[in-house]
Amino acid sequence: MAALREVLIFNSKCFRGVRSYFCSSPAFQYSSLSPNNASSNVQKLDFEESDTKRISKAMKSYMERAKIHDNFIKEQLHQYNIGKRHLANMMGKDPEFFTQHDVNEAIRYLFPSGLYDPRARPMMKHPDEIYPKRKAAEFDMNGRPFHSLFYTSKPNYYNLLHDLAVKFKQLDNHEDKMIYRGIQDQQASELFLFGTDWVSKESVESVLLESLTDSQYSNLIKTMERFAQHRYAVREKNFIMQFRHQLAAQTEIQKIPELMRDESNRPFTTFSARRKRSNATVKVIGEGTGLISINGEDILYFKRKQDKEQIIFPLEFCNMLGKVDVVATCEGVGMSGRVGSIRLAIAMCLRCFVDAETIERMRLAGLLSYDPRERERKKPGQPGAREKFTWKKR
Amino acid sequence: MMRYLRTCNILRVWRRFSSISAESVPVTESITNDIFRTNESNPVNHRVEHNSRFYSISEPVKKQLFAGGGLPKEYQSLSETLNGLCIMVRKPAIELIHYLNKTNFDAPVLRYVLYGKTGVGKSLSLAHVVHYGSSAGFVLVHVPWVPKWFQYVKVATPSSVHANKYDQPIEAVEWLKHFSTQNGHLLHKLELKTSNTYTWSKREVTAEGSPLSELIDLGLNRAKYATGCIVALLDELKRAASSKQCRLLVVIDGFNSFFSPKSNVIREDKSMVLPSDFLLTDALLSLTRNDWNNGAVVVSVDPSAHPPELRESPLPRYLLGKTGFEHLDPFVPIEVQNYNDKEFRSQIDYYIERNWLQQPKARTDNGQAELSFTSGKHPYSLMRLVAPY
Repeated sequence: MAALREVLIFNSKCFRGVRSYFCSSPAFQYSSLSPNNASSNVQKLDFEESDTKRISKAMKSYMERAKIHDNFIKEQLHQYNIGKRHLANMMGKDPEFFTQHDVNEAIRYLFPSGLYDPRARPMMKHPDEIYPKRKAAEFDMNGRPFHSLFYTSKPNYYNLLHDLAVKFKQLDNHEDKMIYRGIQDQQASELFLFGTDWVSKESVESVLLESLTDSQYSNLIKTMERFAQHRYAVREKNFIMQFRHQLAAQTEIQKIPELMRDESNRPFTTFSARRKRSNATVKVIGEGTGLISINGEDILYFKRKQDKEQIIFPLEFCNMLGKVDVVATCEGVGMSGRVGSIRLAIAMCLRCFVDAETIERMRLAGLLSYDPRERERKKPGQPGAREKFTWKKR
Repeated sequence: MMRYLRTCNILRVWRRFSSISAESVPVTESITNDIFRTNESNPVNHRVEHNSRFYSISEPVKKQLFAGGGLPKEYQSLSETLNGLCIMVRKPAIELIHYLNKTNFDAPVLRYVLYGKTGVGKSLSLAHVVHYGSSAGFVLVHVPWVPKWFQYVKVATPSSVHANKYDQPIEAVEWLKHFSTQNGHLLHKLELKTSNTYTWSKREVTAEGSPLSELIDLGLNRAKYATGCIVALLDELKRAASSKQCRLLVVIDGFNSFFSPKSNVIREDKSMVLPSDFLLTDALLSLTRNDWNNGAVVVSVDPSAHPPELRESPLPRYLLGKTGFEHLDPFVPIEVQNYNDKEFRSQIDYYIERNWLQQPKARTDNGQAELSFTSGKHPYSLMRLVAPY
């Protein structure tokens, strides 16, 4: 008994805060059913009366986790900043103006890596880019959630939809005002959405920090689409553009090389292309008679009908069959790869000889795209890339 | 080998089951409106004006001249499908006909060598020359395809006539039959006689002064002595030509096979019998030597007549080798090239008229350009490109 009391006293002296939690555990609460008991307990623990009364174990551990995470991120950020300064010193640059680009260069220089995947190589980035963002504490110490839509389980998403509805109303009110004033025909400057597209589901999820189902995402996009079609949607341009990303312009992707002139003043271009471990260099000369030379031989260098047709395809497509000469050299394993590389090179050269409409038609026909398909590797335990050994039931 | 067999069978099937077949469009001699045809069916009269035009060979003439070979197998099947054998008159054949017409038959024989890539039209030019020779009254010594004698020999026996040499009894009998079909009527008319006695065995003797047809018959009946008969026959013909009894035209396709380093005959000790070890080689090499007159020798060299390792170049010096070149030197080389634009157009028109090219696009310039570039204007490639299989 005396020993037990001693333990209790020892407990009470050293672990004061813990004792208060201990006392307020649900098990303890529910075991002492009489309110008198509870109140007597409360009275004993005066100094932590209201705050600690209704905190559950789950809530407590949640708070702890949130705190730990915050501290962790802070620590990582601190280390990142110090690391940046160290790197700057090592590279002999000014630590104040050491950007992320400089950091990447420094890491690439100091830790050269032969690994194939860029994501496997050493990197040093801001912790926000490495560690996934978490939501801040969603409810307070008493367990009351901060967000009014918390119990929808996707508060940010439904909040966004709610905002949209509110903005819709506002725009309608504005439109009513305009009509009332009689200036409805004065078209507000139109919302120019050409060249942009709605952001993807992943982007929305990373912004809202909530996972969405496909139907929820499509619901959001439909609502935004409807919103963007409002007459006065331009007033909310910034809001809408948050959810649209720029599409890469086609003209920026492929630059058409210039025509050069040879000794006899005939225009020509050269292009080198690859396909499947073979490569080819092709020179297409204008003002020609349709001579085709492949590694010094004529088109019968290729024995198969399909190979010959592949070579002719870009020329026939652009109606340049008897009008240009083609001089090609190819090397590499395999007829199919050589043929594909010559075809791509011819098509790329022909861009200089035809008009923009034909170039677009060529692009749509797939003549101007590099074919990235390669032979798939054979896996162990199988005879081929996909083929499996005979399956035996027993 | 497998590929052409399949084409043969399938072209025959096509002919039976095609509804828009060429049989509905008969070939008549009086078609003159087509630019790609000519009425002149006697090759003796073919001149430069007939260039790139098709002339037709009637069925009896075809049977007589080419029953034992001479037309490429695929071309023969195609001509059966297209309802009539038509050969395009091309520059090499016209050149040869011109030379043959102008030959000084008192001078030693001139040798003409047709050369070019495989599939470019040498065999058909030779077929044209064979038809010319027959029409012009030459006695024809025509070997349709020499490699058949060395690469696909059925039986080879040691020669009864000459030690160290080999006989080809089956091939010899086949050739004698071919020779007699081609020249039967002419020999009958000329009444050539042997100038020597040939003793084949104790009981079989061909006496001096007997008609050549007797020699041929002996060869046809007795396979054992057939090769010997051919040797004797060619010898007699050479002599007859030199003594102005007949005019001889020697036409050989795939001549470089005589100088090939391979044959399919192997002795018991696993050593290979070279083409130069066969008796027939000697006979024909003797005939193609320029030590006689009153005739002509037209020969073709083809890479496909050699084994695959020796097909690098289509040129005569490479294909004949040192011995062959020295044997034939001096000769008149005649190159056979791919179709030129006019010939190509003519070929396409022929196919369209015979309903072989049925797509409407074939009649347009674009379609013909596509065919032209995909085949590279190579005659054989065009035929295969346009074939249904």
